[in-house]
Amino acid sequence: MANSNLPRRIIKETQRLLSEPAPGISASPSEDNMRYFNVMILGPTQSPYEALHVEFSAANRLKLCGCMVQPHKALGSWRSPSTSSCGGVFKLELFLPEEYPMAAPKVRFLTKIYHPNIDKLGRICLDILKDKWSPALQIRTVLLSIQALLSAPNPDDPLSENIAKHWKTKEAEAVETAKEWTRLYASGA
Amino acid sequence: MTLGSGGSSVVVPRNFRLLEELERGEKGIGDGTVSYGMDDGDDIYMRSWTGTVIGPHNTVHEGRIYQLKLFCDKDYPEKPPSVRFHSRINITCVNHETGVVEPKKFALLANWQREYTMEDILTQLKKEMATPHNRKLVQPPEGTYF
Amino acid sequence: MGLSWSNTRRRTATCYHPPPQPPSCYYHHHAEPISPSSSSATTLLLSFIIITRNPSLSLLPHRHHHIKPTNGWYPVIRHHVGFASAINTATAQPILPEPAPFVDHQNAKRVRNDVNVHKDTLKVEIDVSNPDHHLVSFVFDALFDGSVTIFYFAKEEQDGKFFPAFPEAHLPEKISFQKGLGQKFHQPSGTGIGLGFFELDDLSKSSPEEDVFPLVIAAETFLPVDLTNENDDSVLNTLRHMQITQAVLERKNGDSFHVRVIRQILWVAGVRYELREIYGIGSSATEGFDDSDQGKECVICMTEPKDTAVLPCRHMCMCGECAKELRLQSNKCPICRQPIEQLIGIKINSGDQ
Repeated sequence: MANSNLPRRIIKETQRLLSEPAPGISASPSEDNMRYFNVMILGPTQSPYEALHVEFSAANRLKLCGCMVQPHKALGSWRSPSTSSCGGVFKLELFLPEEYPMAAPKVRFLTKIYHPNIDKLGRICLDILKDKWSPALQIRTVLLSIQALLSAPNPDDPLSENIAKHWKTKEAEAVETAKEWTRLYASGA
Repeated sequence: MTLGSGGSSVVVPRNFRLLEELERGEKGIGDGTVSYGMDDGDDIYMRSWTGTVIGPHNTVHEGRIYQLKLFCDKDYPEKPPSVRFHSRINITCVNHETGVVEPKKFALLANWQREYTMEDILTQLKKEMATPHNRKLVQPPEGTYF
Repeated sequence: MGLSWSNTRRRTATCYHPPPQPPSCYYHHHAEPISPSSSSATTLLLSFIIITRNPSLSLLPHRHHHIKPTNGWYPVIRHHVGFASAINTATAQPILPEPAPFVDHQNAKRVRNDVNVHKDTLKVEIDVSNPDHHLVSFVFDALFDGSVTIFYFAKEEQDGKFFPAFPEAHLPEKISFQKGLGQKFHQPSGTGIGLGFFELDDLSKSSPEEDVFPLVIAAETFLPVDLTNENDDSVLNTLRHMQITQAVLERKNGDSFHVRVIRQILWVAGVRYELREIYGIGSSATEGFDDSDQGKECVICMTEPKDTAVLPCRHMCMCGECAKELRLQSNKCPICRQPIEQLIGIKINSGDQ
């Protein structure tokens, strides 16, 4: 069945992702398919995808968001622990194809996001997911790269032509739209 | 080319399977007599699709362009999509009132397997149009819809 | 042409070309400096592979001398050029002529290095009491007593001897040292050279044939010799270890020079080896393999200890099985994406000799 003969590498990566999550990232495999991961990425600070700071206690936030496996570690790169948010939480899905790690994982955003390298279906234009894949990369490094892509949109290599054009011609306005979308869709609720 | 799990133990989840099918549809299939695409580019769950079949040669369907609607629910591809003709057509497996392709009369849907794709459905429907019991049936006027 | 994989047999291989400068990357490994309390020279010495370049010399019978499963053993690759050297030096079995493999997968062998100049510490500085002249300094390890000779524009001869191209400018002098790790070598004041004698352009490169280098440091040691064998030249030769460091001098600002080491060569038992650092070897399974140690595991299966390095980029990052698997799908190093020309298995665990 789906989870028989799961390569040891995948088991190890999964264990490490759960026991030592990268800051602002959580990934957990789905119960019926160990190659299929539910992923949460927090929008990086000082990006338009940054979490909005709402005055909730940390405990309240966790109840509201209910998404972080290990909140303190996961939020390590955030600001002070008392600031908290229900914005800037992006849901993704990740799948390890049969050829993994010789082939890249497949990843896409499920949360709507206004970004020149991410299309309406959440598909991501990122070289390491395509021709620059290396089997030395891992789920963790892929997700960190995606998080970094949120900090550094690249409108010169766009996936969404319109957003890229917007970014190049009226950057301030595009950033505002990205913030607005973050507020509207990336509430983590 | 086989999309999906293809007999291995690896199960491609619904969304990634549909993304594969989308990409394949965008590239164009075979001789172009069968094609499909997504209806709503904003629907991240990729549920509604429109398929097109060009009627096969040496049949009453020759030269006709048939449009179909395919709906992939959450349980796709474990379960087949629901399929109905938008363009009017007279073949045995299609309900005359609604245009729905009736699974009982269309083996591919009746004996659905996870590896089957929307492309397989459209290709099989094209073959269905050319079967002896369908190829000479009187057809509704072109350009009419269910 | 075809792929050929063997973990047990050595075979002829295509000529090795010096690799480009390794790219900076997260596996980049530098040998760690030795702490004075360290009882072993090997943290440092291990970070090399050794490549013989001289086919005739590599046919010399392999001598087993003082082999012990201890520190200080280099993994070695003996590179035979052409089919003339079709002798498996490890097992003395002839190798059947077969098509040259597209990518060679061979095992490294180890030799012990008794003397090592830390190439990162090599400097030339102005002689304070003789400001026209420059003096060489560096840190080195020696397991036995020996000597250092500094040459300028020295030409390497077939037998491992060096001759200065301009003896009128500087005559090399042997300077003795005693055994010890992490020693600092300073060229005595007054024995230096006036670098102003040479063109800057000449100082910054080797000869086109790569046999003359602006700065050559020969460090050699001798094992304590049994007196009865003292006059036996071949024994002497066997016991002599020599490490050659070939460098160029690049002008920085003012009168100061930066030393860039181009190559290190090792002569052991009359065989010439070229030393190359391997990236990632320092975190390989030298001290046993613990399943939870992420630095030691193969980057592909994350299960087996890594024991295979990629040439020419010298990234040691995979186990043998995954290296085979990778070659079926890709010709790029997983770490730096440079094309793979060759794979070498390197076993570092002591006790497998």
